[in-house]
Amino acid sequence: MKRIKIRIPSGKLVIRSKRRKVGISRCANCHEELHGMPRMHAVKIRKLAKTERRPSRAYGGYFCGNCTKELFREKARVV
Amino acid sequence: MVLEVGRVVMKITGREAGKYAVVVKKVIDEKSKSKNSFVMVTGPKLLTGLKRRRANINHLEPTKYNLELKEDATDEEVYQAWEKSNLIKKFNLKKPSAAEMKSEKSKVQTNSQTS
Repeated sequence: MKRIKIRIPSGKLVIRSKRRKVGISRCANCHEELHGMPRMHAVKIRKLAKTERRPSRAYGGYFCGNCTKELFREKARVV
Repeated sequence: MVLEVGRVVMKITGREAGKYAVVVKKVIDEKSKSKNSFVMVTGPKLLTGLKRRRANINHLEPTKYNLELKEDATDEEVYQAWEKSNLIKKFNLKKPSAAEMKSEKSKVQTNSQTS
């Protein structure tokens, strides 16, 4: 919770608390911003459907699409 | 072209990323009329989790393995080709049980009857 000062209609300055903004989720490999991820508090995310929480790809919500691509490319070449 | 019929590939994008498939035939794109952008691939679904679908070749990565297949082979023929090779063990694939195979067969039959 962050404390902010608000001027109320009667002209008084009062201190109210405000929720901090949630950080953007980033790729664990290249630190690029992840797409398709909700930017909410954990409590609100819990109310979402599972398909709305992360991409349904393998490593969705952890690695970005390009990093996943590279990972599986390497795997297919080695196997 | 590397992606000839029978080539074992891995899908690297989309929800089937990381799953193995086999190229069944080349597909001519109707829009651009090019023969080198799409291929038909199949797992089959019971074995690798990738159903028969058209796939862009940029979304596939070929492996060095080949299965002996004729063009436009059915899923059953592809499965038999997998079994003949020793790749199922190598890739750690889980073989479908007899009951699963049976239910899939009946699905295919009902689909063909309705269409």
